[in-house]
Amino acid sequence: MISAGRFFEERLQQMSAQRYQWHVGSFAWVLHRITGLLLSLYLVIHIWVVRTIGQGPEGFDRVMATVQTPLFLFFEVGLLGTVLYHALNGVRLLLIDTGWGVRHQKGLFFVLAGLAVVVLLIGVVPILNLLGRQFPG
Amino acid sequence: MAFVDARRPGGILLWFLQRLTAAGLLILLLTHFYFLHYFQEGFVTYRKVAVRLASPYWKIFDILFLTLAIFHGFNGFQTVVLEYVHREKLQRMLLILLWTVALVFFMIGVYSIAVFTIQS
Repeated sequence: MISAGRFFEERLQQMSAQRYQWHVGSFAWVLHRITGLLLSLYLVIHIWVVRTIGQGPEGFDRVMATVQTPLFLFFEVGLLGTVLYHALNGVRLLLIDTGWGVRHQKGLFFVLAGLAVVVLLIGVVPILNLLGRQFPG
Repeated sequence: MAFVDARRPGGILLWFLQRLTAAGLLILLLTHFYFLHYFQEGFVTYRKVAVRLASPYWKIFDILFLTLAIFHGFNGFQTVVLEYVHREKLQRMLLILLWTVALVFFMIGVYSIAVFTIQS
């Protein structure tokens, strides 16, 4: 028979091992942080770029031409995906905080992930449209 | 564990404001996307943005959007710093740096929107 001390030690080890298992919830949480940091970074760059509106039509249109090249449009799809993930998982977090979402958090994740894919597809249409204009025919 | 003042970093007020701004940003962001990328066809150009930004209502909208976005973004950043940086001096320095950057970009943004008039 093992001693009580040894028993609790083993149980504690099991519990701490459990805490580091990856679940849908912990995965969603880490991704929420990463996308959040990326979006903050984007916000700062966005303000810096868009401030050139004060330089008048020539300056602004030159900047806009650079940030709407195919490479940037490609990144823009990534941006849309990042925003969508953060926004919809944010909705999930708000629902969890109201209490209702706690029991449904896992299901909510998949429902909202599905919604994200749908909105991403809709959102990609105008971006592809712009791409099409740069490669006529 | 020491009690945290509701208004201090890590307090309940900032936690609540993070959720409040999240809800606000959902509506503002949807409006922003709709008018900038759906309602308007083709590339973003000076003419398209200028017509919209000349309206005082859009100026108010954009300044509100900017305020919520900066607060939400940097408050989120602050949470990450509070959770991963535990050395007190370094933590305080990072928070000061963080909110200074936030304030600078907030002012650049507000200035760009507020003083805007159409040039041709």
